[in-house]
Amino acid sequence: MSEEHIPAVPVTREQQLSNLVTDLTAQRIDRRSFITKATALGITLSAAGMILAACGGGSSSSGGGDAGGSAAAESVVVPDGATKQLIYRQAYDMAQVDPALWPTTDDGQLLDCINEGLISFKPGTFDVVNTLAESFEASDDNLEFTFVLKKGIQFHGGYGEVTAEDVKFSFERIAGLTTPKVESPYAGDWAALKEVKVKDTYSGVIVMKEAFAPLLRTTLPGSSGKVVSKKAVEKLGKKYGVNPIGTGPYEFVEWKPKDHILLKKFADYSGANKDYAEPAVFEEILSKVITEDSTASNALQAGDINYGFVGVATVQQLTDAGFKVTEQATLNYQFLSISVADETLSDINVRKAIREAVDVQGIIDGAYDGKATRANAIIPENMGLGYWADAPAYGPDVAKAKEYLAASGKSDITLTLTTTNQETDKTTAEIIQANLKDIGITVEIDAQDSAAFYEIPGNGGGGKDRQLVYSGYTSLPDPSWSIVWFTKAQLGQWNWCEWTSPTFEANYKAGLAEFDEAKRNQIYIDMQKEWDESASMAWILFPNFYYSGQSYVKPSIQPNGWVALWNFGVV
Amino acid sequence: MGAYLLRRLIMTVLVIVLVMAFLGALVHIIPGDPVTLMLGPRATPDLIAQVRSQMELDQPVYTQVGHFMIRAAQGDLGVDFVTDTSVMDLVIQALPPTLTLAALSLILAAIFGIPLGILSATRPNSLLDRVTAVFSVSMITIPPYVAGLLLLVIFAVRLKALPSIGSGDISDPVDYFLHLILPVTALAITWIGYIARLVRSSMLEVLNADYIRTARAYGLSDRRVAYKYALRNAIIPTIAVLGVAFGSLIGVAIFVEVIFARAGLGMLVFDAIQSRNYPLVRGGVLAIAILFVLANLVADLTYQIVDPRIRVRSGSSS
Repeated sequence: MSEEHIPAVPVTREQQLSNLVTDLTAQRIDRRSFITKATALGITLSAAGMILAACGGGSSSSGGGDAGGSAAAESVVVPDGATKQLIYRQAYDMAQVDPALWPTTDDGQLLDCINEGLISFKPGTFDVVNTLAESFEASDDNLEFTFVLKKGIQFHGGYGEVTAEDVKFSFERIAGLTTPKVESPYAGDWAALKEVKVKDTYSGVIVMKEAFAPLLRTTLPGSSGKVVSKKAVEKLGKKYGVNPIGTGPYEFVEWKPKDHILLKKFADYSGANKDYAEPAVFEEILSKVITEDSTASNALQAGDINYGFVGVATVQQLTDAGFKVTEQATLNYQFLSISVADETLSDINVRKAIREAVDVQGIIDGAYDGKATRANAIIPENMGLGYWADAPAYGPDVAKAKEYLAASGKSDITLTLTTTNQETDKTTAEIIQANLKDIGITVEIDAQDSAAFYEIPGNGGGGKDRQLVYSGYTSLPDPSWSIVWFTKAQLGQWNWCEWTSPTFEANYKAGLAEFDEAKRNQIYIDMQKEWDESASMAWILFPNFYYSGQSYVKPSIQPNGWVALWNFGVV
Repeated sequence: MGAYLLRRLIMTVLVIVLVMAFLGALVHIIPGDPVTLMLGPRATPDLIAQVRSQMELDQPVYTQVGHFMIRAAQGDLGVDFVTDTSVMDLVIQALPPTLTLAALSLILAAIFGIPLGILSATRPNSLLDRVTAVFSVSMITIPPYVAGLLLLVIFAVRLKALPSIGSGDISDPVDYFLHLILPVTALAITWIGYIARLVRSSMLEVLNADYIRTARAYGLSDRRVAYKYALRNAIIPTIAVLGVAFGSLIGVAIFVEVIFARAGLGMLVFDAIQSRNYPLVRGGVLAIAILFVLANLVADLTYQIVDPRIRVRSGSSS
């Protein structure tokens, strides 16, 4: 885009207005810039509007997706000053950008910009690379991990250099081993940690109580492996989560509640990621809090945000408007759990009947507009480990379902299907209700507000004695994090199918301790096979995340659907 | 007048206390555990129980609300469950954008509604009156969120003439003003219609009064009769409605705050209810209650100033 008309000598107001009109018609500025500058010259809004109408208006200055495509698809125009600021849409307001306490994916993504770990995922992959660590070695028994830090890595805010003490503090803090004790929901990531020994300023040893395979797949490269400044956390105390300090390519600037979070490029970035990533492109990242998907879609089309997560319901609208929508598979999964603890559902034939009757493809087409991948088991293919390729695909087979029901000897069955009141969940529940009606089972739908739905049993009720539940969980790049919610420890909590077995439990524990990938792979496939025989789950789908933005933005998205904002660039 | 003011202030405080108690307790009726939401699914039952105890959530509801009211009287609204930030700070930060929205919407509604009403009243049953009636009723029936969405799609998405989201940069007045145009218009539309109809019917009543006939007989112009003599009396009911309107606009502002992704009190309370963030709900509701009651108090006092008959009656009764 050519530069705006800049006068060499002072000009009259009329000449300035004339120059503005010239810039507008030559599409050097957009309508909004015209109005801002015109009103600054003292032109009334109505007059500016009349000028716009008379000129026919310029189109958006952004290169991205105007309806009808004024920008040619082949040549993307990067607007001047585009790298000054990336305006990103996040769905939830900042809560705690703290590796020990972060509650939402949005906080986790901010964490990835601000903090780094000894090792990290290479952008766009689950491959693990050294970041803060110069070297990282495991002992033969996988109980000790020796690290040597890169020297001279600086924390933001003048908190000094990263040392082994910071590493010790960061990991032991999440594990609940520091004083005062931090009550971290992620303590399980470090449950097997015995201690972190500091050898000298830049080196130490992570000592485990027992072998823990997810340590290298999720804990260390993920959010629980981020290194924080001990000095900063001790100084800021409870305020740390809203004033995060790290070593990452971006540092925290400000948080305006319910509005935005501003990060800026860290001037003294030590380049810990230079072996696998380019230097940060955008000077600032302005993450706007936009809770409604329709508002985000409108903001994208209006050019008020550069990039963002978009809801499934807005994908078609954006595609029709000429925007490129990126579909990214995730590790998350949606399921219909069938409680084996319920008297009616304790009969396996009833459960098999339900599983056979559910039209999974119908749900994908009807509730998700075809934009999801069918799930036949819990682990998706992109997990890279534990994927059961031959998992059977059930239903819809009304005849077979009726046979199972007849074999159970039960009739006039009425069940309650509990789900959230989100649109896709409600629509899915209605489809399941119709499917089960075809085989003679009456389903009453109980669609609840999220806060009520996720209230686990024992905290005032609502979660106990659920018969059928349609829900979904997120996961991390390790099969154990998908399956953990369905172990014995989760009976009466998040394990809504209420099923487990001694073999299943033993395999779960074995999988956590096994570092041989081939053996782990088989363990998780065997677990899924045994689980499948119980007919306590009807797997539905693996949801995708959808992202869209202005065409000049080059996104960086992880295989689990998270964005690496720090690694965004321009084409 | 002084005694009246004192009585009203005492009533105001009583109303606020009752509202705090009632609404503060009401949120507990909604199922859902804030600690589970706050800590996420990875939290163990022991951790959840511990945090609930730290937050006094294991206390009876009346104890929790009572503690809140005692602390609120000392200026302490507690801390936000999620971010550990002072609720007072969050509410104070959220107030100006919502107040600005409500105030400007009210002003816009008055600027357009009053003249529209006068126009209709001075030409009763004419074509102009009927057209104005259609527009007024149409505006009354458009909910703010529908108006907001329509304005956003037309002016921000299609024409790209105005910003679609955010509050803008307050250090740049033009930018800040541009960000206000669509949400303020969306909120004002309904009240333009209300005020127009209200002023019309009040004016019609007043225009039939003897003193107006006398003023016309003295040869005063219609314009002078309408604005100098009739409007002053006709506007009294409208002033009362404006007080209610201000309170209503603060409550309805949530819709435009969500549609236009604007930070504000409505958005703060809405999110707090969804996440069962009880301290933030109580603090936000308290702020809204105070604003609403104060707006009505100001409207009532303005009533007194504008209408000497009410002033005399209040004086004789005290």
